[in-house]
Formats: sequence, structure tokens, C-alpha cells
Amino acid sequence: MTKIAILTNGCSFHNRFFEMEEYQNLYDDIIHIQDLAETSLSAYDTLIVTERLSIPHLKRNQGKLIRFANEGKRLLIFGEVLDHWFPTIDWKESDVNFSWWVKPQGDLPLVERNQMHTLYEYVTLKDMKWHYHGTFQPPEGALSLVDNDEGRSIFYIDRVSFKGELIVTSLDPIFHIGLGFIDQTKPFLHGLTNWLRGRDTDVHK
Amino acid sequence: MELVGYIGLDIQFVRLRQTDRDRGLVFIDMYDLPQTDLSAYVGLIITNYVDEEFMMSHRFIFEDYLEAGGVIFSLAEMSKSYLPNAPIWHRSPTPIREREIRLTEPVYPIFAGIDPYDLNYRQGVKGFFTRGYFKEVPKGATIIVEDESGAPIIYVDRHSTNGVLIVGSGTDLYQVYRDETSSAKLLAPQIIDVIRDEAYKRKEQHA
Repeated sequence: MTKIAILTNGCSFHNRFFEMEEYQNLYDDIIHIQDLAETSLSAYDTLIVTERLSIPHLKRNQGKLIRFANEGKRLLIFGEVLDHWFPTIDWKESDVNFSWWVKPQGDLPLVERNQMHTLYEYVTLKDMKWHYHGTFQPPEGALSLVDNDEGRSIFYIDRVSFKGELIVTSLDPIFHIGLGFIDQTKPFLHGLTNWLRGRDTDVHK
Repeated sequence: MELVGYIGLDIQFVRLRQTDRDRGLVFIDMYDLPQTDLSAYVGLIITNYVDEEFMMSHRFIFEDYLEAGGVIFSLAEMSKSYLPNAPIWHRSPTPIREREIRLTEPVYPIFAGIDPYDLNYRQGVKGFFTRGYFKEVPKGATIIVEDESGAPIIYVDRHSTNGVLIVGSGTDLYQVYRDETSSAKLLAPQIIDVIRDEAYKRKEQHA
């Protein structure tokens, strides 16, 4: 069974999220970002980088995170990738459309890509549709699963840049679940958990 | 210009713009607090993005700052109490769409000239101002914002310390309303002005 570690920054939304039993199947161990440099990741197949973590701390651990991905493991990155804290990720900040759902015929244009991907056995496009704070240009050969109307991705999987797998999304479910608003985030995170847990630990299968 | 410190993790949602800096707001990475001379700041804003474990283990910094007569405005949805006598945040059981915030009388000057509707709604969406409340406030504190049930949302405590502690169970009111076109756009500059004014009054009282 895959063993998953998750990073926290000790924010109130993190603390509340980790108290919720309903989501404890997502991770096996919690690592504080301040302890990451001194913590061995050898026991883990997957590391989850939650959204809204201190950018200077992420930068200081850049080498460790790249090594993890190059050991054939899976790195799941949520949120904003400011200041190129992870070098292969092309991030662009966007204005947040938080009010589309209250407007007549309002919509947040998102397009499903690579619909045959196994993630879509666990989540739907609707589960990923609340808002996003930025977008990505996936590297050549990576698979975007959700694009916005400008053709930039909000969720992609990169198996070409490293020996392992990089899953990158600008969605922020842990923040919203931790503080108890935006219910669409819940089926998304449950589906994502089941997908992570349901797969073989060999990411290339 | 008297400076106000803006304390948080260095993340996208905490980064300041030139207009903020022009108002005298200065970003302080929370992990630098032990090395920061806070006497350079007449007031401090604590954002919603702080490492609460670090805040707990360094809470003496805030106690010392307040004892010296400083002003702190906390915008954090606290799950740990690292400010003097401050209660923790609770998620409101009332659905967001049924919740209303009310400004108590006399209206605290941070909200002068602001229509409460513009605080309750942003582009028709509710819930930005707060999604939580406090179960109780410290003895002698003044509640300046409450919800429709009377549950406290923001209070001012001039009794627990020598300084002034304003504590909100809301979101980052400084950042969230910064780009509004409604009367709520007054909020960000007024927060800075009121912090300076509270610090000035405190200094006069202690003189």
C-alpha cells in the first residue's frame, strides 16, 4: 500500500483539516515544513505539498523535493507556485472568478482533457470547478486533465520531467475544507484520495 | 510616516503592493519575528496565514509588544490562542447565505462611511467578511461587529494589556476588500489610519 506524507505549515486551516477524521485517509504522516529538511522521506511513495505554504521554506527544500521526484516517487503539489519555487512548473497568476455561480448563466469555463485518464474514474470535472488562483503551461509530454478557456492547465500530470510523477494543480481544497466553505472541494478530495490509494505504487504502470 | 507591520507567511495572498507600501504597511515574514525590532511599528496586523505553532511558542513577543502600549489587529481564524485572552475561532453553524454581519453602535471608525451591505456581499457572493465567530470575548472588551444572532465577530480589548488588541473572527479584511469599487474600498486605508490613531491615543494616555 502506498505510503503518503503531507506537508503542513501549521496554519489554522491546516490544523482544522488534520483534525477531521473524514480526510485522514489522504495521508499517513504529517510533516511540518520547518522539519522537512531534517526528515527522511525514504519511507514514503507520495508527498503532498499542500497549498499556501511558505515560499522561502519551499525554496530551501527544492533540492530535496526534486530528488524525491527523481527517485521514482510521486509529488502532488497544490496551490501557487510563486517565484519558480519548483523549477519545471510554469505558473501564471490569474484574477479569481469567485462569483460565476451567482450570475445568470454564469460559468467558469473549464475543459476536460485526456478523459480516459484513470483520475476521471474517481472525480468529475464538476468536482474540480469552484475557482482557481492561477494556471500552468505543462511541459511537453505532460498530460493536462483540466484546461481553462485560454488553454492553460489547472491540473496536470508530468511523467516526463523526472523519474517519478509530478501532479500539479492550482486547486485549493485543503484550505476550503479546513475553514469549512465551498462544498465542491469535498468530493474532489475524496475522489483524489481514492485515486491515490487505489493505484499501484509504481507510478509508471 | 509611522509604519504598521503586516505579519504572515510569505505566500501569494500576503504579498503587498506598492499602494500598501505607500500607506506605510511593511511585510514581516513571521519567522523573522524573533529578530525583528517591533518598536519600529506603531501597530501590527496579523494575517490569516500564520504558523500557529510558531505563534504559540513566540507569544511572549506579542505580550511584550502590547505591554509596551502597541496596537495589534488580528485577522487570523485562530485555532490556538496565542494572543492575550483571545478566544479561538469557531465555524458558524448558520449557513453563509443566511448570515448577516452588523456594525454595532457607535460604529468603529474602521467602518466609517461603509455600507454593511458592501461588507456582506462581494459581487453578489456572501461569506468573505467572516465564516466564524467567537463564543465569548474578554471581560471589558467592546464588540464592534456581530452577526445576526449577536455572536461576536470583531472586538476591541483595551483592558487585558497596556496596549490595544483588536481581534477578528473573519478573513483578511485588509486584503479582501482592497480592490472593491463599493464603499468597502474604504476599509483597507481606514484600518491603517485607525491603528495609528489607537496607538496615538494610547501614547497620550500613558504620557
